Amino acid sequence: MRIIRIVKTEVMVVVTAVADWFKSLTSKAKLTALLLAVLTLISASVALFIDSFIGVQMLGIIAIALGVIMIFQTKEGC
Amino acid sequence: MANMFVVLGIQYAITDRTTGVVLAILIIVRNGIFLWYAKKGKKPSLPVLLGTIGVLLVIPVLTWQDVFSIFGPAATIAITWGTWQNKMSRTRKSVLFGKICMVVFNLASGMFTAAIGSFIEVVAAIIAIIKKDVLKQE
Repeated sequence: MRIIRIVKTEVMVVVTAVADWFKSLTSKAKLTALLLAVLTLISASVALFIDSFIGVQMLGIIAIALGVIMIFQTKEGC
Repeated sequence: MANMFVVLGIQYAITDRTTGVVLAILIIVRNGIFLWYAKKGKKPSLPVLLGTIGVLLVIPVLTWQDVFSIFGPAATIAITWGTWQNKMSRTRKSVLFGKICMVVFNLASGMFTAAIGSFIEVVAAIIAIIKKDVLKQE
């Protein structure tokens, strides 16, 4: 029971963090996030139903785009 | 940041790399926990760090596919430790090590564009080390 409570708390922490992050975005950034989510769905569909190799590489490009956005969002890199 | 690991998790799932899928989920949870501590202005406690590293050590054993299964968890352990401790120079070095492991792990999984992404991070880490640790520029 304690483990369930700990897992529940951790899931809530993640959900709250994601919700806070989405709320903190500007309308332009929200649009970009939604666009990337749609592109992810398209790429995953390509990977599952058409060609897994092409779909996987498309997802890799989206991951790079997300990485670049992340760098611009944070004030200092590594 | 979680978005990136959701995308990577999907890629690992498509390429049948079980270690990668578990890692992506664990990284999202870890980032959430670290963010929660950061918002409180605290550093994650040692048991939290050791617990995360313990889970990361178990993952390659439970999801063993080939020798490359070690590289993902090794990268995550290095980056987790690097972000947990205080010295930025150590963070940069552990990120460099972790990202080199991720290049190998992604290439072994057939995720070439993801490997290019990790390679860009390797280059960024090398530039940061040269600029801030070797040349001591601000």
